[in-house]
Amino acid sequence: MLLREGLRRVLTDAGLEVAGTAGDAAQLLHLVPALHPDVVLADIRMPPTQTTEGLQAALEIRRRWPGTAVIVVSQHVETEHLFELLADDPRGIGYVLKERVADIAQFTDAIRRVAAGESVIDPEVVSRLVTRPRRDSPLQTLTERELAVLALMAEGRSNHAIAGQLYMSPKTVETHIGNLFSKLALLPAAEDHRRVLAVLTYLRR
Amino acid sequence: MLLAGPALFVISTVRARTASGALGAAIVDLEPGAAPGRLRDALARALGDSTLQLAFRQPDGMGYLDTAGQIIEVAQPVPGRAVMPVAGSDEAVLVYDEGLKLEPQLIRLTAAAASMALEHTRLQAEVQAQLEQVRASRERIVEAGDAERRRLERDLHDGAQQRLVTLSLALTMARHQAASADPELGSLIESASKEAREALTELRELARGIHPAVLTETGLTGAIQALVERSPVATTIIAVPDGRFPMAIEATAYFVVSEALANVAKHAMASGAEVTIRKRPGRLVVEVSDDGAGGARTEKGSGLRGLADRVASAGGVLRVDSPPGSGTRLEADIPCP
Repeated sequence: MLLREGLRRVLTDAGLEVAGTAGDAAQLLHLVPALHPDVVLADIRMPPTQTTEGLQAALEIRRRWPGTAVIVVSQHVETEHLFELLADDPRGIGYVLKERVADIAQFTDAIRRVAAGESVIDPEVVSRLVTRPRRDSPLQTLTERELAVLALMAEGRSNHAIAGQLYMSPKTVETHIGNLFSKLALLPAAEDHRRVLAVLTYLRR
Repeated sequence: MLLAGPALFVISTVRARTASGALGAAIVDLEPGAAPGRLRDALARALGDSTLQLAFRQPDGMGYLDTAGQIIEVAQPVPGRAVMPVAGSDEAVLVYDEGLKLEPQLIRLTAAAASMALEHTRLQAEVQAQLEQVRASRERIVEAGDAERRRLERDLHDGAQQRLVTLSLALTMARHQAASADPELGSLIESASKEAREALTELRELARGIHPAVLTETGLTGAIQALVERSPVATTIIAVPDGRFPMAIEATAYFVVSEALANVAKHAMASGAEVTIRKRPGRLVVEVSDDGAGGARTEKGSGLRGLADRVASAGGVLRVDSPPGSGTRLEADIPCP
């Protein structure tokens, strides 16, 4: 498949080792235990029905070999599949739009982040959720900076990364996050990675 | 003879030779579509013969069967019983008491009335059957359209969209190779890359307009959530049932919400909308309401007309409650197992 080979080339050029490629879910589920990859990249749609085989395979991989990071690549901006993926443990899970593959820097960054145990949600998906028109919602009371921090949290970014991206000090980021959680009446997440789910769930309402 | 609807009145003044020789009037009150037993009763009353039988020819050549389930030998009736065919055909007969010595004219009129009533019933049944055929045919057309759209979306996804992703990737690789050696070329390739990305986004929107894959994959929960997320008016989901329903019904429900929200965005000047879908015994009820200007109508040419037609083709009913100045409430009631 032209796309698989193109991707292999691009990722190898970027310094990542491509251990193998699979044409369908069954092949994928054979290769994972054989090759022990750090990260699996799976298209949400695969043969035979081209509906959600990739998603099912991703969930299966997480069940059987936890600790394997998975990035699900989708052409949809819809959020339903995203939630299925994140439900159990959002660590090391990514949901990336297919067009993202054209931006090598962003794409390899996503791969490295999930390998490091973060959650990665495509900025386009988050942007749609954040900019939805709202009525009678505390989201309407957020400042621009707070919205920007919220969006990056929904993308799964760490405080450090948020600070870097928005040119804020880590202390400022923490203050914004504190304000956000109290304005939205969200309980501060016990661990960083849980907050992705909390924020996304909130944004989806 | 005087005929008037909705009930069929056969009023005839015929000299009926009764014991007192008085004039009698036979009034046959026939409700359209009445069951044969009721028809027999009405005819019996009109004739004044409680023993009157109304019998129908059996298709398997097994003689005639009356409304009480008794077999009648038309060629050789029981002594004392006379047979009068209904309207000349051998489909049905009246069997009456010969001993009453009823005026033949009266009996013929009664038979004619019976014939009209039966014809009416037959026509009604035919119309019902034809309506059902039209409905079924409309349903087939809609389903064929849906299937075609699903196929189109699949083809777009697997074909053109996939190619664009591959193209994007190739352009990215080309740009990396060119950038250091020839910045101008690199810049040119970057523009091409951008075009490819825009094309991908447009195609995705187009594909979703043709058929939302998320509906096939996750059912109404995911698909309605997606509609709500994209709605330009602040929209809340009150309820959506879990679980799957027949594809045609899910498609209709999705279409109702999609069109309704599009109308809210276009016309209603509303600040908010709500979507409620509930499963009731034998039905799926889809409701979209907004707090806008109201005054929505379903006449020809309006967006709501198309929606009403689509719901009707699924055997359902669209109700619109839209008093001017009080917002709009759309309710689609769709039969659903």
